[in-house]
Amino acid sequence: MEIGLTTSTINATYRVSSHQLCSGSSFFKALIGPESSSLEANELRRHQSSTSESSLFRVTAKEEHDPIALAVVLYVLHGRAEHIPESVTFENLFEIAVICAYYDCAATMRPWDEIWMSPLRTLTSVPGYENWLFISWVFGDQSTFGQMTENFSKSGVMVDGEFRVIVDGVLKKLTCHIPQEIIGSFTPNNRKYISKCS
Amino acid sequence: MADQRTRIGEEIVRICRNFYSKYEDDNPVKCAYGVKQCDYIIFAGLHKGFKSMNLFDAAAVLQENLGLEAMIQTAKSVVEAVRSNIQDLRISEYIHTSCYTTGSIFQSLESMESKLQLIKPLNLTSFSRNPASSHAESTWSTFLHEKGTLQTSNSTHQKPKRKKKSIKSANKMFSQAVCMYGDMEIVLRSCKISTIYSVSSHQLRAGSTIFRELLREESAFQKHSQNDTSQATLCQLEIRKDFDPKVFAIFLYILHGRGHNLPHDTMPFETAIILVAICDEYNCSALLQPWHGRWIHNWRQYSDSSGYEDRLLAAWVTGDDKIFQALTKTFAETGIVQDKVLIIIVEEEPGKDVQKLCKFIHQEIIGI
Repeated sequence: MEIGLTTSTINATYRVSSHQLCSGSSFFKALIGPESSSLEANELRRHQSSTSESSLFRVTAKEEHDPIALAVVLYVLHGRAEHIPESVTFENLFEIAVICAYYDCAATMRPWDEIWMSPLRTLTSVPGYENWLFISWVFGDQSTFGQMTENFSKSGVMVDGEFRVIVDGVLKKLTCHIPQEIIGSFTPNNRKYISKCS
Repeated sequence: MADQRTRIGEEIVRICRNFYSKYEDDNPVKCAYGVKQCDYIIFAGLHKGFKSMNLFDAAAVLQENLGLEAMIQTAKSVVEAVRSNIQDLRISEYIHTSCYTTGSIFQSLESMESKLQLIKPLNLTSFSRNPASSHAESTWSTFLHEKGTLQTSNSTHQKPKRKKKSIKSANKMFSQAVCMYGDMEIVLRSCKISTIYSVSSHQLRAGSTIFRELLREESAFQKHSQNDTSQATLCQLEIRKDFDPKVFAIFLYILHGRGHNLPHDTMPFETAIILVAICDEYNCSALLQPWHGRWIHNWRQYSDSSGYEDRLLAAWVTGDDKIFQALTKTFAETGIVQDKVLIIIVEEEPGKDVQKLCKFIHQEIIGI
C-alpha cells in the first residue's frame, strides 16, 4: 500500500507495508487492521485479493504533517535503520512527535526517540523551546516533562481559556495541543493568582 | 525622609497609571505579567546578579539558601530599601515592567509565598493518555530466562491462524510470532531444539541482503513455495545453525522494527556477541546501530579484560575503530591460529597461562 501526503510545497508518496503499520501503530491497526471493518480496511483487502488491480491501495496523510518527519517515522516503523538520521533538529523532533501522537506510535520510536532527544535536552529551559513539553509528553520522558511542567506552572497563564507562556516578557501561544488535563494540572494556581491580583 | 518616600511613591503611581492607561483595565494578562515582573524587580534589587536570571530561578536559589520564611523577610526588606532609595533601581524598569504601585508589591509577596509552595513537577504516569507511559519494562535476565514459548513484553502478539506445516522432528519445538501478520515462517534447527518464527518476507528482504538472496524469485525456496498451492500453510525457510533461539528471536525482532519491545538494559556479554555474530552473518549490522549504546556499549570498558576477547567482533561489526585497533594489536602478539580458529594465550592467574578460544572472530579478521 502507499501513503500520500500533499502539502503546499510537495506531493509525496510513501510505499509502505500495511503489516508494519498495523504492528507499530494502533491508529493504523484500527484503520486497516485485519479485524477492522472500516471502509479503508475493506478496500485494502479488496486490493490484496485482486490480481487485476494495477495501483496500490492509498491512504492520505494529514496535510499539516511534515513530509520529512513522516518519512522518518515510517522508516522507524519498518525497521530501516540505515535510512534513519542519528540527529535531528528541534523542529524536526517536534514534527516527529506530532506525527507519533497522531498515529499513536511513539512507543515504536524507541530507541531513536532517546537518541534524538538526548543532545537537545540542554534547550529545555531556553526561550523558544517550549514545545519540549509536548515532545516529552509524547515520548514519555519523565524528567523533561517534570521540568517543563514545573517551569510552565511558573510562567504559564490562561487567557480566554487558552494556555499561554510568558517568554521574555511576551505572551506566547504554544503551537501544539497539550491535553487539557495536563494544562489543568498546573494552571489553577495561575488562575487563582490572576483573580487575586486583578 | 518621609516626604521624600511619599513623593517617590506618588511619582511611581503616576508613571504606572500613565503606562497602563494604554491597556484595558480588566486585562488579566497584564496583571499576571505585572506580578511576575514585580517579583523580578524585588530579587533584582536583592542582588544585581539575579537580573540576568529568571525570577523563579532566583527565588529557588534564595529559598534553598535561606529557607522560605527568611527569603520572604529578605524580599520585604528589599522592598523597604527600594522605597527608601528608589534611585537604586532604574525607573525605566518600573515603567516597562510593573503594573503595581510600591504598596502592591506586598500583595504580590503574599501570592508568591503560596505559589512557591505549590510549584512541583508533574508525573507522566498521572496521564494515562500518554502513549509511551504504559509501556512495560523488562530486563534481559527475565527475558532470556523465561521458560517455555518465547515471548516478549508485548502481549498483543498473536500466532498466525493458518495451519502450520508439520515438521518431522523429535526435537523440542517452540514457536514465536515475530510478526503479527507474518506471511512465512523460519524454522531454526539447532542441536537440541527447533524454533518456528512467524515472519514477514518483505522485512527479511528489505533488511538483509542474505535473506534477499535466499528468498529471491528464482531461489529453491520460492520454487518450493510456488509449487505449494495450499493456502492453509505458510512457507517455511529452514535454517540449520546452532544459534541461541532467543537471540535469533531478538535479531528477527530488530529486523522487523520491533526492537522497542525488547529490554533496554545492558545485554549479557555472551548474548550481545551472539547477536552481533548473527547480524554479521546476515549482513545487516546497521540494524544494531541504534541499540549499540544501550545493549553493547557498556562492555567497551572490558575490552582489555580476560574473557572478553570476542569484543573484537563487536568492534569490527559496529565500526569501533579504537577498540578494534587495540585488540588486533594485542591479539597479533598473543594469538595463534589453529584450524582457522583464533586462540588467545591469556594469563588467568600469575604464572598460569590459559588458552582462550575466540569462536566468533570472523575469518576475515583472523586472516589479517
